[in-house]
Amino acid sequence: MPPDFTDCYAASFAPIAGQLAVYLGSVEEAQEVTQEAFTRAWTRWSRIARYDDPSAWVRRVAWNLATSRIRRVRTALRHRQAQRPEPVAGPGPERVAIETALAALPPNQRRAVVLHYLVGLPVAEIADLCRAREGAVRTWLYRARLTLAHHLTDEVTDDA
Amino acid sequence: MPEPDDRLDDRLRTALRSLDDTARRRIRPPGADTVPPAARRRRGTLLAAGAAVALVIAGGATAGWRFARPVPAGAPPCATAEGAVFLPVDGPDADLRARVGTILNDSPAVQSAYFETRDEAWERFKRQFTDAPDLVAATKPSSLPESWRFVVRCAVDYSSVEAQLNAVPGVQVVREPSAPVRSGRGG
Repeated sequence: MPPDFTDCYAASFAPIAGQLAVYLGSVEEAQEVTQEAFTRAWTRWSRIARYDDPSAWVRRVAWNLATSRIRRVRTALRHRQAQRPEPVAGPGPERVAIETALAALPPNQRRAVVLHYLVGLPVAEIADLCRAREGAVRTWLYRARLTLAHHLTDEVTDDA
Repeated sequence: MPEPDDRLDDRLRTALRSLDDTARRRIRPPGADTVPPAARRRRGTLLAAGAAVALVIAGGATAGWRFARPVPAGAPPCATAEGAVFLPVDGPDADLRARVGTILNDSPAVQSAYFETRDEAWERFKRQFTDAPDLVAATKPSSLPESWRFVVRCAVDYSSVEAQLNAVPGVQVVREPSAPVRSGRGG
């Protein structure tokens, strides 16, 4: 096993899977998709290893796989089912609010929001990854922000 | 009252990072060393579809090694499911091969089946991985198992065929991944 593959796997698996879990609403599915992306990377590793950032290739494939998966299943439903209370570090009202709001967003908007605000990709890169026009990505982000702002505002007015 | 954009953006980032942190605490990577075997299995099962197509085109061939039966007249259309039965790598084991072949041949749910020898598996493996010479160099023909590749005419019957095959000790039955990942029953 080439050490650079092992290093890439060790460094990138959790970040990619974590971001996908926010998108998919399921840690288990995010892990499956990430593992599948690394499996595909392995079969082409001699080529991918020469890229400036091999993990970017893995992330792109993982996101595409996740999106294909979303198209096949109604993830929004599972999102809601997965929202069982968890005994981990006190989720604040903001987090619960955004989890609910994310689940309700159309997949295109949810993907754009996670890639932009969590992964930190600029609009042009999101458009490239999603094979969409930059204008479409801006529209997704704009609409998603309106929806999310509404949810966040609702939830935090009690505290304010 | 609308918020300034920057403040909303900050809150969004904070909330998303919180979701991300929670998810990451639950992530357990299977490990880099699980990837090469998964790649081999994936490639192997993907081959099943190609083998099945080649089989249908070739029509009926040597009985026992490959067969294809016609779809019964008037049968309702249904989605097929494909699978592979891997024999132990320490073979070849002619008895085991015949035993699996008989099960497939006797099952009316099985539309077609094809036996892939170790040499055929190796040739195909090399072709499939021409872009991964390191992988080919790290693999020996003797590490590739012989396998039966089969197509079940209606996917709903796959689990019963699989159960029959799983009763044979020493074989590994793998469903072609393009079919639904979860059968919904049995687990």
